[in-house]
Amino acid sequence: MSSFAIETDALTRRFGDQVAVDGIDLRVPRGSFYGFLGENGAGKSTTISMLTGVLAPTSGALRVMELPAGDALKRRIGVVPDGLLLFDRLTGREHLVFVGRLYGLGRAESARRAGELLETMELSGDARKLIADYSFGMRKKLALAAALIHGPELLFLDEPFEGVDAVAKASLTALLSDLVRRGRLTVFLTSHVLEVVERLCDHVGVIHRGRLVAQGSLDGVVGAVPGAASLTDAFVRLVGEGRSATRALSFLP
Amino acid sequence: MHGRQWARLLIGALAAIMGASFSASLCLLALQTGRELRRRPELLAMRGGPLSLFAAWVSMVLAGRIWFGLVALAQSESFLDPRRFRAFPVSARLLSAINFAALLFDPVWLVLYPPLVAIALAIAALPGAPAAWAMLIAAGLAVWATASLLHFGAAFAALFDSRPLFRRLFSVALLLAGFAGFQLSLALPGQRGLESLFPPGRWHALSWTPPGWMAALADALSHGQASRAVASALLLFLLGAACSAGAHALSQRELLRPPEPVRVRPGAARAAGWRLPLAPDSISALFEKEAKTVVRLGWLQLVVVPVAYLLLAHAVLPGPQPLLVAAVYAHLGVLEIATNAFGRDRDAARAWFLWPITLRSVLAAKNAVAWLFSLAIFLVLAVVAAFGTQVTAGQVLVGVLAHAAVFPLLATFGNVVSVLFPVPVRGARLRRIRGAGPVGARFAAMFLLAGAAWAPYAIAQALGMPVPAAYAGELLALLLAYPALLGLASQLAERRREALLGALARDE
Repeated sequence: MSSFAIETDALTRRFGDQVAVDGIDLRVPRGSFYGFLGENGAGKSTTISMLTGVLAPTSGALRVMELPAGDALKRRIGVVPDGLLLFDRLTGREHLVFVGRLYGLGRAESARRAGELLETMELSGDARKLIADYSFGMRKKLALAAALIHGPELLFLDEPFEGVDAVAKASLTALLSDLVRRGRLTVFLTSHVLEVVERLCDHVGVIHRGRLVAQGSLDGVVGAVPGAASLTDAFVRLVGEGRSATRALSFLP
Repeated sequence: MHGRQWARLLIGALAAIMGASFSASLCLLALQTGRELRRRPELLAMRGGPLSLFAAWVSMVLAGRIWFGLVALAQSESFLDPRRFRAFPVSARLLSAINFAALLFDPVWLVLYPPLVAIALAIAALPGAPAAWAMLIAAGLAVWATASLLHFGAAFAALFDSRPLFRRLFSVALLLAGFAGFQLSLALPGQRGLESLFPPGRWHALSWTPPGWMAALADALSHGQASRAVASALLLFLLGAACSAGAHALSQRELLRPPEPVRVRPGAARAAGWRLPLAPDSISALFEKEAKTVVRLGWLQLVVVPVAYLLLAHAVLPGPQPLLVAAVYAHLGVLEIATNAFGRDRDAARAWFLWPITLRSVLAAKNAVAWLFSLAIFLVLAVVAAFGTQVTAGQVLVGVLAHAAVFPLLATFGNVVSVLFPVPVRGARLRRIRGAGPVGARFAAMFLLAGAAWAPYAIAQALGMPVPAAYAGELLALLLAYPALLGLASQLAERRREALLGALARDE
């Protein structure tokens, strides 16, 4: 069995003339909390879409859990994309039961797990509300619950903490850390909140304009960037290219 | 030019041709009927004379515009969403005015303008009719009033997104109004449709209604009666202005109002989901999700469709096959659901490619829900037909067979349209439709539906075979073809997944 949950070789995706992902070689160790970092438009979501089988690569190879794209792989992964997989006109509980049944858990087991997840995510009080009426943070938590209901081995999270309040963020990170620590889960996460990534992740990859510019253990990546004392420092030096942070605007005093 | 752009251009051209053909056929019908009435003045007299004919025909076109809006869920978002402009120094009234002006260039209006002109020309040639220019001015003001009414309707529909209790109460009110309308229509036995409302005997009462004001305006303008013309024009103008002001006030008020959360019944929330007999659990789950989504989003429309039929029951039911008309009408009621299967899923449409289910099962479940709602509408119509007119067992059989036979074709064509032209639905409304493709494809679905519904009847007449046998044959053929057609539609969805998600999901 490969020690990597995800391996890609020269993975590339073009949209017309634009190269969104340019020949990246990802190595995501099993049981790791992997932070995939990049600026807006760097190619993070496109990479997740290819890894989860939604987008076909233009070229290159990818292996996720050593399985080809198909139902067997889908049953072993969970995905929380940026645009959440939530059906607005179901209640939170109905949605979780629905997802569980599509994964073949059966009605009773889906209902049992839904109840447990709602409790864990502190959404039990809102279980009867339509998802359309949920706040953004509640939607994020529900989407994560739905991605966990079938017990995946690999979880893809695209900006999971965006719009989530500090208390919810703390409970989510604790839950995910616990699952990874117990060796039950590999998490592939993209986030702009580098402090959270630094606290959670043991491995990181940095993508810049479609190219993977750094990858490895958190300490290894930070240590490899001269003068970087933290992940934020390393990230700014890797992708900032000496851009000036302050630029005067002629029309403002 | 890129291949996809050529395809879009082609589809746009086809849509424009279809819309123009429909428009031209209505024009020809008006002109031809006008010529016929000129030859046979006794028929003209029976229909109440040129003024009542003008009021009836224009009202039918305008009622058609309103009806199309209801059936096609076309209470779409504003051209310029006022919420997005709240932070900018742009006048809210100006935005409302622009939104109203944009409504007048809606594709459905563009199709209906030429028939309105043709009606004015056809009736102007009849003896004793007002001048064409006068009728055009009157029809123009009627369009203004109707568009304002639709504008108000769109603003009113926005309330339903945020006030669930209000939505339910309004649906009940519509149902009661429909029942009252049905009772009223029963009180006019032997009359044919809207035209029956305009015989000379009732003209006095109708002169107090908007169609009456329009006819009076045309008459007064034509005869140079300035004060009467101003009074009628003012009434129509004020009706439109009141609706526009109401639309503006409602949309502004809505901006400041947080939506009320919807809570489902505790029993329903605790249940472990529906179980359909003989169906795998995943299909039952998909069916439940689809049915709940449609009901919770579009319950109003599902109620409105039979109500519209109830109001017009006596206009369309007479004929050799009343329940065949009912079958087509029932399918028209679910046209929006059938031709925009993924629109309600929006971002979550990506789930169909991420979760371990086949697109075939997803489409099959969506089709089953559309069929069930269509069947419900058909049953309402069949009951109306049974009470309102004399229907034979043979007619019932033809209706039932036609309803079942046509659906597989509509469903799978709808699946293809859903994949090629998805339109995201926000709340109970479509996002504003861009381009001619979605409208053209829905027109094509309507033509296909009409063709599939009437072809067996025409074949049976031509070959002298029993009509039910022709429909039974069509049912058998399409039931056999359905699995293959469904397979083709799901393959298309698989092939076009990127374009589909690009149209529906925000982050694709």
